[in-house]
Amino acid sequence: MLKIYGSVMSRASRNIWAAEECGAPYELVSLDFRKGEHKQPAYLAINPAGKMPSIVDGDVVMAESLAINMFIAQKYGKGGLWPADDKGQAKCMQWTLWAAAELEPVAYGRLREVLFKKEEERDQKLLADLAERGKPIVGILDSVLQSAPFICGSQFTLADLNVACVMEYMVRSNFDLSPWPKTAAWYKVCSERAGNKKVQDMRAQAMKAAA
Amino acid sequence: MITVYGGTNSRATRNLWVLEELGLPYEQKKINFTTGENKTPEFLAINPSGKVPALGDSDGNVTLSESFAINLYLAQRYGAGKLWPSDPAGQAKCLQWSFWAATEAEGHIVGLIVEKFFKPEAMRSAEAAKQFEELFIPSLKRIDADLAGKDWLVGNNFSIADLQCACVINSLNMLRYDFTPYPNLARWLKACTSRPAQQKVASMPRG
Ligand SMILES: N[C@@H](CCC(=O)N[C@@H](CS)C(=O)NCC(=O)O)C(=O)O
Ligand SMILES: N[C@@H](CCC(=O)N[C@@H](CS)C(=O)NCC(=O)O)C(=O)O
Repeated sequence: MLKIYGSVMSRASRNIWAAEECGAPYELVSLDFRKGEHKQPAYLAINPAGKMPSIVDGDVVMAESLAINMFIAQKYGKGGLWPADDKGQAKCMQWTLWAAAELEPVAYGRLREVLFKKEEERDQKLLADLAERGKPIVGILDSVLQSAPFICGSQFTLADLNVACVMEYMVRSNFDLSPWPKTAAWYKVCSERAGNKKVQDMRAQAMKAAA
Repeated sequence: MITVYGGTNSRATRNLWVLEELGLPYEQKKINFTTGENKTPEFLAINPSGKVPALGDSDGNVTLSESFAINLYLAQRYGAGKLWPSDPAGQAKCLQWSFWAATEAEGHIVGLIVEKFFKPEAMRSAEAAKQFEELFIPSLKRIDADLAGKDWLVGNNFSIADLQCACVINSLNMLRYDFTPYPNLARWLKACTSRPAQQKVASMPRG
């Protein structure tokens, strides 16, 4: 059985979403950031980098949130999250790496500023620079969404899921998507899917428990 | 037929390395990103990002971009039992290391190279360089520890995992970066870059 190690507040949420989309049975092994559980020997044996998330599934042991989603989609989501055709599969790989290499540095740079700092301490120049860098990047996604509701066409796939998880950082850091109506509409549809709703519910519960 | 878009002055070199490893026939269109050939309507139809590399494969009726994704595509489709291991555990590790190279290594390493190499001297900042280096040192330590007592990252053979990580880390050699604190990494990097396929790419005319 698929075991996902991490906190729902971490990038493990990406993997929970993917597992939910595929209807794959999974167990979440919660790691508490604040207790440093991701730096304990038990977890370091799974991921020596001490970062969340990781998964264990039979003899598969791996880290890197977006790579894990490729694994989950390929194993549990054939014909669904993982398209059946070569073209769709290639697009899923391309857009997942696009999310990692092009969007995430900008998106995470912004989120980090907003998440870990009080409003008055935030580096507004950095946030503005990153927003400028983000515009052409969002524009590329938007150009693809002009002709179809999802990245690969009419169906929601891993490409949408992985790009949406990273786009969430832009949205949470108050980057305004309204100049790109197709992207804004796409993001809304993605984030309202049952799998992501489940993640948001789990997060709300975790926050309540921590409060 | 496989077509690689991009010259040897770009990340296309990592795709050429895979094609040479697998001995696949291909043609190369040297779209030059320094003269704007990557922003023509013809090229934007191939990659709307207007970046090289990109790849066309008429067999799969596929066009894709993102250098690491191209390598995963080639390895999965044409490299079974060679660059792409046959066991699911090994395949998972290849995915992991590809994304590790993209998210935990490349951005910071490119940041340092831009700061120390590509920026005009007057604009360079020692402080910024130091920050980039501090970001990737944990990654160098991580891969060095992983390579203790073994030749390759995944199983007993050179795989796409090694290639994806090596092409990124090897770019530090442009700065004559000192790898002596990371002996396992240094040994592995040398083994990767001495492979005939990589030697062939390295000796191709630049541009
Ligand atoms: N590239 C990695 C990044 C993982 C990562 O940075 N995880 C954070 C939580 S979302 C973490 O564990 N940070 C703790 C640390 O770095 O010590 C991935 O996508 O999985
Ligand atoms: N994440 C992309 C990055 C591609 C990239 O930045 N390519 C450079 C050359 S190596 C380029 O085309 N730059 C021109 C531009 O950004 O306009 C990949 O890995 O393929």
